[in-house]
Amino acid sequence: MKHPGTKRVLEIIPGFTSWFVIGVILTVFCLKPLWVAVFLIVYLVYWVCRLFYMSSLMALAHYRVLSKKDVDWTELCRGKESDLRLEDVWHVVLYTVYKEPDALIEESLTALKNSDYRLDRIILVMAGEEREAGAGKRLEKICEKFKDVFADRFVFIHPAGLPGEMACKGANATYAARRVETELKHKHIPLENVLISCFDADTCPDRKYLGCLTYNFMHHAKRFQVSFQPLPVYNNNFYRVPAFARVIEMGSTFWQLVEGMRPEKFITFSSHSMSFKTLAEVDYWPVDMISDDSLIFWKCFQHYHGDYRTYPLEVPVYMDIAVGDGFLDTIAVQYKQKRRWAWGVETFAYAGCNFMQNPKIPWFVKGSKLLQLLDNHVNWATWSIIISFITPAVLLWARTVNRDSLVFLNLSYLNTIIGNALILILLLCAFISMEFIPPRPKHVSRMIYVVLVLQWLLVPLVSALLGSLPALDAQTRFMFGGRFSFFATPKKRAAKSPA
Amino acid sequence: MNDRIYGIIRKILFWVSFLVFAVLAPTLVFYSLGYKFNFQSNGFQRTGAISVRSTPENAAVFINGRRLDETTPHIIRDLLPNTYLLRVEKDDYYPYQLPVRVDSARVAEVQAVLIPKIRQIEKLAVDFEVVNFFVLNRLFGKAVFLFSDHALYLLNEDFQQPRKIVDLPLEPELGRKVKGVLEGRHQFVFWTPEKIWLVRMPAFQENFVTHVADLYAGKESIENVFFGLDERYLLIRDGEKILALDVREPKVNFDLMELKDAAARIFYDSGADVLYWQDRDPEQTGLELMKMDLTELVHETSGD
Repeated sequence: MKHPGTKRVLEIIPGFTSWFVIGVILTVFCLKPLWVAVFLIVYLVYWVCRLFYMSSLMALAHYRVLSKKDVDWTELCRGKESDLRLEDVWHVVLYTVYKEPDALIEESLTALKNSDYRLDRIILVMAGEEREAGAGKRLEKICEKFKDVFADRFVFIHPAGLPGEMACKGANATYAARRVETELKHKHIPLENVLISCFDADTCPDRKYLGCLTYNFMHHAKRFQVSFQPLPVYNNNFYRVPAFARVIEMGSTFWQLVEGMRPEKFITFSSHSMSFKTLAEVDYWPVDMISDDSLIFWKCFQHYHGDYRTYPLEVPVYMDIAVGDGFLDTIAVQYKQKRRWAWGVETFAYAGCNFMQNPKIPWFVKGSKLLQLLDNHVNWATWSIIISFITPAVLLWARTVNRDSLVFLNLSYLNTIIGNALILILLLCAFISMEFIPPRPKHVSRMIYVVLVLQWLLVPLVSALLGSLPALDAQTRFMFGGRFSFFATPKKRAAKSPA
Repeated sequence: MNDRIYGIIRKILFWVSFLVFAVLAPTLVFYSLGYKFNFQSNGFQRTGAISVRSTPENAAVFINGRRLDETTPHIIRDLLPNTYLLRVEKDDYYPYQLPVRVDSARVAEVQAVLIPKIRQIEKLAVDFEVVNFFVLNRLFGKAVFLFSDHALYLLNEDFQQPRKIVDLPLEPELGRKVKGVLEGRHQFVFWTPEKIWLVRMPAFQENFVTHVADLYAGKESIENVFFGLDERYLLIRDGEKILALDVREPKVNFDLMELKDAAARIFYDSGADVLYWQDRDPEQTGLELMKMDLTELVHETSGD
């Protein structure tokens, strides 16, 4: 970076903006409460309209997923003309592993094995960490159980403490991908024909996932300038986690559904797939940053001078809901996981710095992308704090101190109407969530269905405590130049259902 | 549907949401601030509102004689600044009516407590003629003292079965003349303008024997009686004098002070042992409120 000062400013902007928004509301409230009431009316109307828009997109995305549910993708690949033959396409499925239990990994590999796709075109890569004692032997042992299932399988152990790296998923995945590149060259498999899917250890791809991915890769006009994003559905341990954890993770799925309908804003998240050629060209995932999943998009965006997209696949991958030992620990784990996700705020400074060095990206594109990132992060950190905490506090104040003000009375009235409108949206969420709920195990009571509907009432609280607060936490740390160690979300499955 | 169609639908949804916001936000802000478009004067006017609640709820609301469709609780909006005659009505309750001043951008609050027209009248089951009664608040519940011409009775919280406490001394029409009752621990006093009586009620006895004794004969006219200093004393206002009387040794009584004005009033806080009185200050023209802490006085004296 030529101007480290600029990078520092870009690091400060998101956190400063979030605090500025909250601070201005509170300060103006002390000086001119009426102005805050007017602002809150506009803000609430804005969010109702935005939620209406996003809910509509979610319903549309839901329809899109449902409409492709029964598609035979492999057959489609064969049936539609392309410059690539189905047989020519290879898949590298890379699992990053760090201390996840054997059973969990085996479950993921079993899901991969059950893919409705040619297994002899799948190369399995297990990327372990030297920091985990005995990782090599453990992964070899697991892979042994899947001997002769896939075209090939590799276990690579990422050495600890390589220069220029931090202990993060990106470094592990990059090390393994570099090794795979060598192997592919040995096997004379052209990188142009290879798709790489970088999965978390708990990722169980839908049996149609690889077929859907292949079809879209084969028929995409710019197949090297696109990442493919499956819909992440967190339901592997659905019946074994507290209701609030289900709600927050289902919220993540819904967010991806919505984002998937806005292709110009869509960026990669968590488990994703892309062309191996592109990945190698951009020199793989960043090895010294936390948000490898979104940063790889921005690397590619930079490499292709803004002509790079993320395409939402209609087929999901299934993952675990982050869970700890008991209720409180689960809250802590969820908080830390969301804070790590929110550390994606680093992409703002990363993209901003890269944009400055790339004159080929139009200024309009640069500006809109940065604004989009800023909007996402600032809203993430503030909206539910404003709606769930500040608005009720202002109304409580008005009810006790300023009872005869018409504007506060109307704000209260509006807030009630918006609350009712939100219930409708939550009902829609509850309805759509049914699509992603795994079959009820026999030991779980039928009453769970009542819980699964009522749990959505937790949204205002959960979105503030496990949505905005961790985001504000991450932005504040980042703003003050704090470094962040990668929090590897514990992947464990509670024995009993707490629901 | 292909991606292009999804894109078109998305754009439509976006612009619909945007337009809804663009129209709704300023409209609601203006409306919330009390602005209303007056088509007659072709301009905006600022309005106010009346928030009317009632106990019980669901009462009809009339404003300037016009009945509204809604019932309480209700907020009457879009009212131009003026004074309105508000009436709240409900079947079987007395109507509640008052003028309400409405200012622009303000909410006038009305909380109407309606009184039922038909009340449940219950005759207390007593088989004697009640000539006087007093209701005393207790820590938990209430006690009702009933006087007949010959005896004193106590009714408990349930207002059932009065219990005779004591026969009254053979004084003509004593029960009728009683001005007040004061309840203490296992004792109470009642007084007429002429005399104070003490009734002792031994505790924890099934068939207790009560004693009634006259404590004090008034010199002028007994106005107020209070327990003081942990019920050891009675503070008595007799005419224009305030005196203290030892309950255990009724012969011990002495003047505490003399009030200067016939219109003077006193109150004794038995909990804190503070005497308040309103009396004429010789140097001032009107009545002044004064207080005296008896506990402090006692402690100071003990210390000496």
